[in-house]
Amino acid sequence: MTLKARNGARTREQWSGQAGFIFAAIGSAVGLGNIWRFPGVAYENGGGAFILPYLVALLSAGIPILFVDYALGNRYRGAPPTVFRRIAKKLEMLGWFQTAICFVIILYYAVIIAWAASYAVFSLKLSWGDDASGFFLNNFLHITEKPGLTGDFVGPIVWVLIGVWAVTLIILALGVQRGLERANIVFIPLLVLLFSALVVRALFLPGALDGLSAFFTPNWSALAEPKVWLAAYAQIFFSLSIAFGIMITYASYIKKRKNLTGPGLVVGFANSSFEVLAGIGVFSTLGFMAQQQGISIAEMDSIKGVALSFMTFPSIVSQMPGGQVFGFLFFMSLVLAGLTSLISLLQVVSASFQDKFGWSPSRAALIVGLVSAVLSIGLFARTEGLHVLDSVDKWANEVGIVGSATLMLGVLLALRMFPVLRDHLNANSSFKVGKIWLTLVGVIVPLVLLAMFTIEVVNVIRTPYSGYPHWFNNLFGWGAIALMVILTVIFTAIGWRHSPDEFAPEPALPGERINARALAAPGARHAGFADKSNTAASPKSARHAVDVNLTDKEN
Amino acid sequence: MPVSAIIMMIVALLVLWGGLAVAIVLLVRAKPAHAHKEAPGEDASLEADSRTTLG
Repeated sequence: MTLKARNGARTREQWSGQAGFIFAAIGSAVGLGNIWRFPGVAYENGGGAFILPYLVALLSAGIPILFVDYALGNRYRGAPPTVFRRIAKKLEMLGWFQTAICFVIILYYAVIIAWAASYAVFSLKLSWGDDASGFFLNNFLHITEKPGLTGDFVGPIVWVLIGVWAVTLIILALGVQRGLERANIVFIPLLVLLFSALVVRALFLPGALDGLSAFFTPNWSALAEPKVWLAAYAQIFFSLSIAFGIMITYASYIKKRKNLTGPGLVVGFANSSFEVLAGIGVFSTLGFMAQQQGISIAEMDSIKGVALSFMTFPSIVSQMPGGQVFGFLFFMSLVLAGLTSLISLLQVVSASFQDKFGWSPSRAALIVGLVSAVLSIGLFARTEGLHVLDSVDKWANEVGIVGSATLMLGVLLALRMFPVLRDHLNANSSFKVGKIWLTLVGVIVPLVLLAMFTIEVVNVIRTPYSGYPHWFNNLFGWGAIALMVILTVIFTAIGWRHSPDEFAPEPALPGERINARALAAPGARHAGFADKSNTAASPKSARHAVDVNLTDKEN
Repeated sequence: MPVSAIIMMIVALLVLWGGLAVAIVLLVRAKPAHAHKEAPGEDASLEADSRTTLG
């Protein structure tokens, strides 16, 4: 459906209701990291004791920043470049930087889904035989021994990757309601069903209790180590898809004057609940393997990430009765978790282009998707793909996302935006936020993020990541960051098809800093727009607007 | 399985799954009070571009 407003601008799509948004937001948050990252991180950082910093991080950073994203997207109604430009013209760059982060992550995320889809099929025949690691590295990836640029394309991966992109593009081209919402409403319950079946099976494996014991036995002394707390904040931060545009974009499709914090709590707790479920499933399974090999969990390698999923798990699947079904459930869970996150990442890029160039969802999906697909295949469906993916992932997450989040919170703090966002949340939401939330998002979380960012940057500069040569990390790690910056500069410089500046956020709130021109000259174009601080309306009228809004709710 | 591990497993499940259950209940109970009534003629799936809302 293509509708246009009277001034020629395209109308904005919306979720059909609260459930559609919640499923999509959970779909975005629950991704590969929930299944393959959380269990290993928890085990390495105090086991059961890790639950404590993890809960503190969820309540003090994860959910509060989720609320910031929801308020930004719902109030300023757009993809990140539109949202930040509507706050202050120069901030459009921050929006494009977030979009660029999503774009870079998309390129390798799709490849992992293609691997998982291939392995779901391999599981049925246990194609890896007795040597799962050798099969993955040599027979499947045809990996080069040393990282380099001499690799060839790996045919089978290319074809599956094309299939992943085709599914993703179809979902995106169908739009918010018919595409994203319907896909998530089907995929998320299916994911929970498949993964629950896997966990139940894993709990009945011999050695499962030993695995659970290793996972949940607390090492209280770990709580004295700052790195354990930083690991908890990092896990929550990466897992919830916060502060790099996804939740801002998704919240922009929530109708105006809707409950925002209520769904936010559901999404935050649902994501973490799934992580604990994943921990139980993964460690029950690892306990089985440890028993089969006569070793302890502590002696096992490869309990996280790509190695856990594509080397350790296939080995376990080969050893267990009915392993084919177990393997299929595991890899299909990865496919579904990955796919729902991939479409959310791509939606950020697609929505940014829709806003800037006035494209329809199908046109944006086609153009953005095809470019992404070509780059994705060209960079990662090759014999050195795993090395490149590893390096780009490290920099995109720990430098790009953490840097973007630190900058975003710093800028919002400097512009005194948090009281405005608080009022926006409280005007329509069931769960009110106040001084504690302001303190968390305005002081504590920025400090934690700044510490994380500094430590990570120093770390990647000093230590050659994963043993790769400096030139390789410079080319793909720092190169990924450079690409984000270049894309940011280019797309900020390009003009808008329809100016986003002629906009007034609702409800009007006192003391809000917004584009002066939006209210002063509704019909004006953005050329030569002066970025001045202004208030949305007179304090009296704004206060009245909020009062009326709240009174409506009470009635 | 050590008692401490059992306790931490129960704590994790209780807080997170319990928290999810409470959040869902709060959301469902809050919905009628916070539902936004659509104005006559307001499209359920699309919003008019808000560029002239307060102009």
